Amino acid sequence: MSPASAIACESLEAYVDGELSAAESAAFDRHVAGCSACQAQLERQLRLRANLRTTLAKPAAGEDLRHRILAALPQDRPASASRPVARRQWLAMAAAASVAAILASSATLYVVRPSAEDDWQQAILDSHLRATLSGHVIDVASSDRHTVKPWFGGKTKIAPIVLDLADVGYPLLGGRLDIPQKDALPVLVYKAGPHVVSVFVRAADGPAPAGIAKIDGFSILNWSDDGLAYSAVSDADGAELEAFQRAFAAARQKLP
Amino acid sequence: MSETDRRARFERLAVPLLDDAMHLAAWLAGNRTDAEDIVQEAMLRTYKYLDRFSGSAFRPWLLAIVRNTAMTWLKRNRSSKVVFVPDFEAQEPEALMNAAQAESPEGALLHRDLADQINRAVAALPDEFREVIVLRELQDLSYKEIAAVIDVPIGTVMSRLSRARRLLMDALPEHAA
Repeated sequence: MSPASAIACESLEAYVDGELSAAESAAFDRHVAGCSACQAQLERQLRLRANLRTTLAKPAAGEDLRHRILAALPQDRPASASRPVARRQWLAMAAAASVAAILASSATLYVVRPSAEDDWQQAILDSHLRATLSGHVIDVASSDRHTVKPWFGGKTKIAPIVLDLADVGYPLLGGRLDIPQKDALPVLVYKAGPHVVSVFVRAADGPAPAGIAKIDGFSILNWSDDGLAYSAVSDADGAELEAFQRAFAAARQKLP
Repeated sequence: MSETDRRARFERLAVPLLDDAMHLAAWLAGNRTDAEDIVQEAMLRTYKYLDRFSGSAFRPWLLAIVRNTAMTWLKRNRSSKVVFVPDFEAQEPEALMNAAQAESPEGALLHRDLADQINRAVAALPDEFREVIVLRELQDLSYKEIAAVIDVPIGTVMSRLSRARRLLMDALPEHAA
């Protein structure tokens, strides 16, 4: 073996790894044509590479881990009602409460401590943004409420009422499990024109809020019904969300 | 950077790479539970140091954090050398199915057997060799990127890769490598 071809043999792995320049690659091709040792070695290296790439285990991160990480990230603001933004949100929500009172005629209205509610609103807005930004809006994709409802079974303590509103212009996209605060909650995902609406459902064992809040261009509409508190989050405007809530309430009435 | 901006950036850059982080952590730790702890810690670190990232290749940067977190974590939580026994599935069932689809059931079985052997052989490699194989063949990083992730010269990456491959070829039957 001449010194020149020894150097060529040395570059076999760099060739397989795509680390050679075009000129170097071409030179290696020419070398291999006349070097039987390199031919045999090249075949083995390529076989090993192909086998490793097709069979090495790739354990996926999983939804649990993803939720855990996102939930552990520092929040924008501490749990305090004294921040100006928080107060503004609360005022907006309180102002809208009268509107909602008319809308949610069968629902019970409560007034609650602003701080806990502000935290909730921020948490579900973050959760909605997280889902829409990452493109992971739904865990179970189905327009069939009989598929979406059982999917939540066992994953959360809440058994949400899943309504199909496609015939009134709000197709059900599916459901997702989210942990906006400390509990896993069902989220129903609807489409309202070009907008995605996330409806968070939680138990209304204590006072539950009602009304519309606007945060950073997003609308949050709260209502409660039959022991459950609903919060719809969307970049649709408040009027659109109210129309959505009316449709939801109307369909709810029709259920046995 | 405000917390909101940081979060948006984190979700755009880091969250889509969670699986990549998990693959590396699993192959460094050898089991899923430890790997999840490592990934969580690494992702929180990534979030914290996000404004220090200024380059163009985010993936190697993130993988370097995962790798360093794993090293620290393993040192802290494993007092002595333990045998590396992966508890995760030896291969992706889907890829396997595709590869074996055209073949007979016997062919599929053979393929599964081969996949097991290959995963076991990689698992049996000493840490410094397993890590370069995983970064090269599973993460598809270049020599330069691997060098940056494990903080060694490129020449060291090349010699470790070469040595790792020779070990694998020795451990595996002729038709596998």
